[in-house]
Amino acid sequence: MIASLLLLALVMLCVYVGSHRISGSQMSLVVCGAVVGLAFVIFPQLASYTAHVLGVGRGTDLLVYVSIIAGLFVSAHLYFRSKHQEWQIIELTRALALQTSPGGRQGDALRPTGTDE
Amino acid sequence: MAHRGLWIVIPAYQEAAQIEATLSDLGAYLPRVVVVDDGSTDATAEAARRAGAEVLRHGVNLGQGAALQTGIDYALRSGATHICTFDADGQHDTHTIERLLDTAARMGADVVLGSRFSGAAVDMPPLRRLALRCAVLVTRMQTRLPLTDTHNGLRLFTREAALRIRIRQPGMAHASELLSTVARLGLHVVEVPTTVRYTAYSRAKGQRLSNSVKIALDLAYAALSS
Repeated sequence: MIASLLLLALVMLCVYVGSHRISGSQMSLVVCGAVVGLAFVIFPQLASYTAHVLGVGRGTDLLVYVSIIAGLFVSAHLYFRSKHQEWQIIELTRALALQTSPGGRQGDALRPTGTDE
Repeated sequence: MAHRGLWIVIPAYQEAAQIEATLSDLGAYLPRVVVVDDGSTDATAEAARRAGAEVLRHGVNLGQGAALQTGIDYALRSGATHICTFDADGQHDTHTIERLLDTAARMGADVVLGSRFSGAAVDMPPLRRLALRCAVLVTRMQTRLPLTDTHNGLRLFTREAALRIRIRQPGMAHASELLSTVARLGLHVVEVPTTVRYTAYSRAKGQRLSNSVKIALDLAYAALSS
């Protein structure tokens, strides 16, 4: 019962991700994750076996460790991306403010302003 | 008679109640005063325009550092020879601007900074004083510049200095970032004693102590990604 629910959730996640445009490397990550996830759901003893080989107590422990590390990677990735987007918003907002200013000229708007180091 | 090449840059966020009074004190410098309305939802832009300043508007709130850089870009495009940054909340004394200019000319300074600690800080809350003293200590260690006040909004840049400095920190971390840049570029910095007056209005508008944690995080991020 729980296995089929987990499988269903995995399939739904794959469909959801697949409905968005993602890059090739991201797609291969998703496929890898899905295959490993499916294998662990269908063969529960596989997780225990892998955990044993790696010297981690139980399969559950292994899954927890992997999830935590994956979660940290994902948050770091999202954090740096949001910082990058914040910077883009700043540049756009500044260009627009200067363009619509009293002395602003149309052509200036999309050119980076000032000099850089 | 106000210096003809001088532009005053005022970042402003939700300052509709105070900006006209601040600008009327700066009357001698109008119209070469640019107010950067940092996405205020109140009537800051209208009030500043009414008072005779040039007004730029950020469509969204970006932070004081971003607003300063926008204003500096505008002043540079308008041919400024000197750029003075000034707070919107009326904390600063407008007479100090001439002293900043004199100092820049007399000592050949690239950057002149106002200091409330070598000058006067009137009615300053004790916790604010402590937080700023800590900021000064940290900045002195980082930059090795012998400064007494690192977070004073009253600053003067020559055109050449302003062209070389680029503020990347959108929020309040820009003050520390600015001094790091100044130290790295080896610009000549001089401090001038100034008076900062804390009014009920400026205290309510000013930085919260908790924001220093965010500033530290912003700077840590910048150190990581540079």
